[in-house]
Amino acid sequence: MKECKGLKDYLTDAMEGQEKRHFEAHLATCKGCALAVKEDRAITEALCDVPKVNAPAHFVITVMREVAARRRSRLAWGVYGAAVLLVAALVGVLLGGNVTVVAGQATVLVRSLADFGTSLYTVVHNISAVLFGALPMGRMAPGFAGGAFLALCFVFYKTAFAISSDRR
Amino acid sequence: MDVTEELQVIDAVLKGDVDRYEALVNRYQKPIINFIFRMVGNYEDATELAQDVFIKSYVSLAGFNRQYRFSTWLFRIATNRTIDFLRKRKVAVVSMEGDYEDYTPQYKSNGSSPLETLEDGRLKTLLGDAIQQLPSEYREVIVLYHVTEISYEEIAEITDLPLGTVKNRIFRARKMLKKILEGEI
Repeated sequence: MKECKGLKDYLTDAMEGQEKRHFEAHLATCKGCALAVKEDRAITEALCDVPKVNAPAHFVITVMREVAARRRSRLAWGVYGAAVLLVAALVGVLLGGNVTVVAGQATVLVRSLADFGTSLYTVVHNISAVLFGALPMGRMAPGFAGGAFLALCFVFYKTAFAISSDRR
Repeated sequence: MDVTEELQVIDAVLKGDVDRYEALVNRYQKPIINFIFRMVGNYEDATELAQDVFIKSYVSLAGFNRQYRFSTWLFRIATNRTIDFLRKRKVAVVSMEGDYEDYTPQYKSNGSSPLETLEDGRLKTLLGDAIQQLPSEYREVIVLYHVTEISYEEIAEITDLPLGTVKNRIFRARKMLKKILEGEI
């Protein structure tokens, strides 16, 4: 059976005011439309009452546990990232004053890191000089820096491992 | 929880207070699970997919666009994840655009008319099964509108469809359901 014009708009709330009142008057005289509206409303009412399911008892706990694990994993990656930056900076420290020669052909990024390392070296050296008086760093500088580097690597490794292995 | 409170929770989560995310999971767990359940027809799959949706939402929270409601964004993730799941499950999806009048229902009548089953309350259960027989593009909008009670406008945002198409699909879907239930209510 062919639908009358406006039926779809009426049933999808796309009709208002006078147009709606006009169609409702039409429903009183058109049995086809009246039946279609009745059927649609019966389906609509039943659809709204379709049985709903509940979430499993531990749904929220499960989601939140996974969310917490994701966060720890992100933190661990942050620590790994910081460790990589630190290694790069310490490489710069180890290279010390020879940065220009060693990194002559290096990329801008390496140069920046090396410069940063040099600055860091200077700061460490100055602080050391203040703390230990006129301690002659000289040839021992790489040794000090290497030792510090290994110690920091160990600390970062243990921290990152502790964070990332905290998943249940 | 209103929209402003939701935004406050989102800000807190983004600042590292992950526990606040629980409020959003609590608020939307039931509608999301019901939406997915009516889409995939299996409770275990639905809860698993719903978990994925909430985790994906958390992971992508920094990219949440504040011009939308959180629910719109969450249901968009849910619809994408569900459709992806249905594709992988290789459910045969036949486009019903234009030929729904010839749609042959798979539902086997038990002899009683749908009106009778409505009276004894069985129509609601049968309707749940009938929804499963709808093509996914129709099932999606009918479930969003009638089961999770989302407005036409929000469905249009979730599905990225024009408002008119959403209304048309819902209208057609109800006609298909009527046919599946062998009409004459």
